[in-house]
Formats: sequence, C-alpha cells, structure tokens
Amino acid sequence: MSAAPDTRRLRMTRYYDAPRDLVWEVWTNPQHLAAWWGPFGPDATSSTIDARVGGEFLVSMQAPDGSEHPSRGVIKAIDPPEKIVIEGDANAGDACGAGLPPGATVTISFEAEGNGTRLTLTTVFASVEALHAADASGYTASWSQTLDALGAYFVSITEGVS
Amino acid sequence: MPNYQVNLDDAFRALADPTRRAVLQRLSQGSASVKELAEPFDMALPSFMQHLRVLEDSGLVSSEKKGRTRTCDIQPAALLPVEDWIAEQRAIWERRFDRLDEYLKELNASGEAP
Repeated sequence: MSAAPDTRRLRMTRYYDAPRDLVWEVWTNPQHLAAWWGPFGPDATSSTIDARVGGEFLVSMQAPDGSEHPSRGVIKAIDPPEKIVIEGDANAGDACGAGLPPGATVTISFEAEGNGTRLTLTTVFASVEALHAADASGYTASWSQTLDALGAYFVSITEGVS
Repeated sequence: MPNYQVNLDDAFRALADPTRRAVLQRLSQGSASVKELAEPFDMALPSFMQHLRVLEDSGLVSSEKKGRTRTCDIQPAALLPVEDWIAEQRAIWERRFDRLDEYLKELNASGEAP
C-alpha cells in the first residue's frame, strides 16, 4: 500500500508578470520550452510536444560532455490555458527524471492573478522514498532555479512589446 | 576580464545552498573541471549544472571552456561586497554594545545600579 498523497506531494509556486495565455504558450510550445527549460541553454536543448491526452511531452538536454538528459513524460490531462498533467517516464535515468521524476504525476496549473499569472507546479511522487531520492538528486533546487529563469525569460520576450 | 560587479541579492542567494557553498569551498583550493566538481554529489548532472549557473550568474564563479572540458574558478573579489555588508552590521552592533557598556559603568559609578 502506498503512502497518502499528501506525504508524497511537493508544491512550488511562482507569480509571473505575464498574461496567462502567454504563460501557457511557453509551457506547451516546444520552441519556447527549449529556450528556458534546464541549465544548458537553447542551443543544447530541444523539445517535441504531442499536445493531447496520451501524447508525449519531451524536452531533451545535451550536457557539454555530450551526455543526453531527457525530461520525458506522457500527458495525462491537458486543459488550455488552465492545467496540464504529465506523468514522468518510468524508465527515467535518475530519481529527478531531469524534471519529470519516474512514475510521478506533475501538474502545472495556470491561474490569472491581477495582471499576471500564478503558476503552481505540484508533483505527486510514486512514494515518499521517491520524493526524498528526487530531492537528493536536485529536483527541488533545479525546479526552483528553472522557475526563476522562466521569470527572466518572460522579461526577455516581452521587452519592447509594451 | 570577468565582471566583478556583484549584486548582493545574487551573492546571498548563491550562498544560501549547501551544494553551492561546498562548490565554493572546493574552488577556494584551486580550479576544477565541472566533472571534478560534480563528483562528490549524488546529483543528476542537469541539477548540478543549475547550481553552477546560479554561482556563475552571481559572479562568484567563472568558467572557461577548453575543448570538451569546462574549468571553473572562484572569483574571490566577488565575495567582498558580502564581507563588507556583514562587517558593517557587526560594527553597528559592536558600537551599540560599547555604548551599553559605558552606560552600565556610569550607572555603577553613580551608585544607581541595583
């Protein structure tokens, strides 16, 4: 029997000074995803998204040493521009799954708040142990950094527009 | 030349994580490749690279790529604004304690102390 979802759940949230449709767009458009996801930069990152229930969500990262680090999952629910639910690939190379941990359900929700958007990333891990292993592997610190980088990305793409 | 302009927020943010502090400690002993730096940590490479990116963005660490190897160095000058800020706070409190000390001595001398 698995532990109650509450003890397997990790929740992170950010407010972005960007309209909800745009926040949704950068999360579901592969060109945008490759521009802000992970630490290696757009030249070393690529993405393909099959935006339907059962479709694959994939962001591939290539480290400077040539090693590949895919963030791979299956879309379990997609409800534009409010919510996307992705289940991390069970065969992921490590406990943090480069952002989509194996067997974990990652829900990204987008709520309009004032003139901007509240993004909440909720991860329900396969087990409490899986949560701890992912955290040790850098899951929390990495998402924290990537969500901050996303804020900077909105500034970079909206500069000169308003 | 690396840019030594350091934002205090970025520097303290970079220091507010045990992995990043450990990397700085290692680099204070000399240059190291990304691979050498990552070795002691049971961490996925992208996660580790995120930490390095925070350190580089803060100006505390610089890196240079030669072929396939990226070598990192600490930028000790970037720690100066952090040291200055802490020294300033300590000085304020030391002056406060000095004044308290003198005040207590005065009280004692005038026989008003309990």
